[in-house]
Amino acid sequence: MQKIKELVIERALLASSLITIAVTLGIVLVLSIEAFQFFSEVSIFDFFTDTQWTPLFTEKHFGILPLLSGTLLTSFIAIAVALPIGLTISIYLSEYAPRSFRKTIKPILELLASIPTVVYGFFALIVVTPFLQQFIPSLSGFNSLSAGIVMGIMIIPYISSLSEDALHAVPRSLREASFGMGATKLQTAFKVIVPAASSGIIVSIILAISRAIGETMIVAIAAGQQPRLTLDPTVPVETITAYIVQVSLGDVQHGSLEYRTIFAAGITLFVFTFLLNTISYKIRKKYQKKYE
Amino acid sequence: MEIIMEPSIMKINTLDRIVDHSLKKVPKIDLQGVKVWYDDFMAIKGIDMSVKQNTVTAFIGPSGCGKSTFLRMINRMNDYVDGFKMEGKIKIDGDNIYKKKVNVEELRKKVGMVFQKPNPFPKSIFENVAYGLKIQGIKDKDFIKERVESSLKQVALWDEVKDDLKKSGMALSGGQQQRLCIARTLAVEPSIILMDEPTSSLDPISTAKIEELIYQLKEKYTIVIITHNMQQASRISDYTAFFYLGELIEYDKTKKIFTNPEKTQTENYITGRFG
Amino acid sequence: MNNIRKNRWKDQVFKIWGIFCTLIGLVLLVVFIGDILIDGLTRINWDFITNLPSRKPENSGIYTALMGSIWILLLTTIIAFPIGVAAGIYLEEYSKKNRLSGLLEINISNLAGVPSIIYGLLGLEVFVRIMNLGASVLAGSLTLSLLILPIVIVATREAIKAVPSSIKDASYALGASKWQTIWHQILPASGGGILTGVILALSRAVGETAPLIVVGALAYVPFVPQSPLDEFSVLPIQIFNWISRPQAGFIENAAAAIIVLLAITFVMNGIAVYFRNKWQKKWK
Repeated sequence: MQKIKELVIERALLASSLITIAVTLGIVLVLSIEAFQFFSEVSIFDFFTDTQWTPLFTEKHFGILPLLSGTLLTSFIAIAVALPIGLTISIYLSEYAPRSFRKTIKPILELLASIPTVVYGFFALIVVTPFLQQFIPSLSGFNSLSAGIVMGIMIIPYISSLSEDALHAVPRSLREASFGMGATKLQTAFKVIVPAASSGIIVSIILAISRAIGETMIVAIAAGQQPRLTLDPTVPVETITAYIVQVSLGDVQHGSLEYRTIFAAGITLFVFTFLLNTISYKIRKKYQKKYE
Repeated sequence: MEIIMEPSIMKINTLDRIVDHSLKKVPKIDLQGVKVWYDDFMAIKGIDMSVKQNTVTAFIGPSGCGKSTFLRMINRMNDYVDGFKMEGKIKIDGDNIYKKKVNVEELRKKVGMVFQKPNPFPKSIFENVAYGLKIQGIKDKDFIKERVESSLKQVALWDEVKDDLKKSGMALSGGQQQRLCIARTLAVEPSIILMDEPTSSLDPISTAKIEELIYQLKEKYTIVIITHNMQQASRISDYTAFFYLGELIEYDKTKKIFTNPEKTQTENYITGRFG
Repeated sequence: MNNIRKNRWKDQVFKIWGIFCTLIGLVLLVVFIGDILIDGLTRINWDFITNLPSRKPENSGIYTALMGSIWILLLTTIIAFPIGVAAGIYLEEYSKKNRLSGLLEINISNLAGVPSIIYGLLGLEVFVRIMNLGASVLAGSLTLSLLILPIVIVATREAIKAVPSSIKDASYALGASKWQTIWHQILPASGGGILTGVILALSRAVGETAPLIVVGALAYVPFVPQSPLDEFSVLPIQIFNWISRPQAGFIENAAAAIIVLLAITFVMNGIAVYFRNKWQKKWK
């Protein structure tokens, strides 16, 4: 009796963990089936080379490039903000700050990551854009600059926390060896500790990029809804995620070509983040082995 | 070397000598040709040994010699280790405990274990001792109460804790915690108790109390104890087994091991020349 | 000598720059919450909480959105909590080191990094269309459950890992079976940690907007859901809707609704931190 009960429980627990595999399969299947039907109507060559994305207009163009450029532009701005600040914070907290300061400040910074993204969108549109317009009069109401900056603020804790963990894990003996040769904290940090923790830092940066690429609400609210192949941060653009939101808010018929565009856009996004996540996972596994 | 030949003993090895054949009954624990691997690493390289009822047997040897692995074979605690493989037979009261049909949980009720560091559950003192009974499905409250009391009395902890049985077991001192862990083991009424360096994390006074307790428990239980402390082994045990690199080097009456060991390796270890 | 002085000077400069960067995050957090409080605090009153949405900003309230969020929170807890904890227990206590466990591990790590909007597309196709649940509370909750599943699993595993193995050994040695050991020892000992993780995951679910928009949650719902199959809105979508309107009154509403949403998020985070501290003390 007891044996049977144990077996039933084990099977139920196994089934629960297999649900995660089903979720991945579900995502891949849903995206590829709809995208496959999309590409039976739209040439894959046009999809990657056409410089216009106008599926909702009478004259339809299905070039993903404008959405991709919007996504990459906002992500680039976000990383440009988050990387220097996040890394500095991690080095400061790990190498300079007193223990008690580090212990209080880390959870407060992590609070930044727990704020719902719709709130950041509000902040970007209502506060940051008007503020920036005082210095850049030509800045439009919707633009990738303030969306990117605010997104950067949001992902600071992703970089600072994970990098700090990696820096903190570097054995004390390495620090002492460097100090013992007369190096300053700064020299020790950049010449010894950061290189030793480099894989952990790289993982944190990759995860931050992946997070920026997939971010939706900030860009949907503050960057606009105009697909445009541009590197100009002052004009409205549209990201892949913002496009999916735009279509979802409208009344698009299930099974129509317009409906399928969001899956074609979605699979492009999925492939990008999947690659980034897999790379970071591989680095992490390799790195774990190194220290075990 | 003196070997007593008897028709019933098919296999002759150096150990036969110390089995008390006058009793004409099966040994309490009988280990035959035991080999253990963890993945490709061979931890136990073929050991035969038998342990008599109501005795204290001490396992000694340097760290990593396999004595702890060997001890954990007797209540199948190695079953959950990744990459664990074994060969050979371990018989308790004549039954092979590694047979397919054996219920491991039943076995462990018969073979209790006390660990190196006191490990009370993060529960009350009462719950700690009652746990083994409750998982057996025993619901009779008076019975459980009685058993908890008698177990705590056996380890001489009752007078110290009877007024706050609801206090967390983790709030006790180290020595009290270890006695609580022994009481917890006694509550399920095992016939064998395995002890893995039970006093290594305790102060001398607590150690003395546990040693005295072991001496008393011998009347009712068969005890196998690992120790790193040579004096302790000579004080409390009837038989001593010396392990080295996964092999049983020497196994004999404790007195013999400590006064006149057969092997120079044993002598070197006991006198502190290595290990 | 000169070189050493230069190095020391650089060291000081970096230290100041470090303090500046660390504080800038905090300053922004304060500016940010302060600004929203100024914009929205005066708008919050009992009517704002209990009114239905309306065309006129001054009459609008968050009642239906708030109720929708509570529905979503409850259903998501019911679905994600048991599955996530069960999967976590399996991975930590049962699964052996083999190809399946390796696959599960990389898969969960990957799922944690999938953008939330992709979960929305999955939910739209599977729950809304194929299972024909429509744009219902249930479809939304199922979608968010899948989204937070990896977080719950990882948190469960971490909490179980923190339980000393000596406790497990002691339980097995007394003749307890695997499940008895998990149920009587491991789960009570790791409960605080698991709870912390689940609450943090749920606080993430409360703030999610994009996947629910994709699933079809509405911006304007004049009624409170009565059953899991009713249509719904949630606070973040209500906020998004108000931000998108030109009238200043709606911006004020959005700020006020954000205060409510942030209050919910921060309270949940606070509870999680409380449980974590209480639980950590136990092992010290």
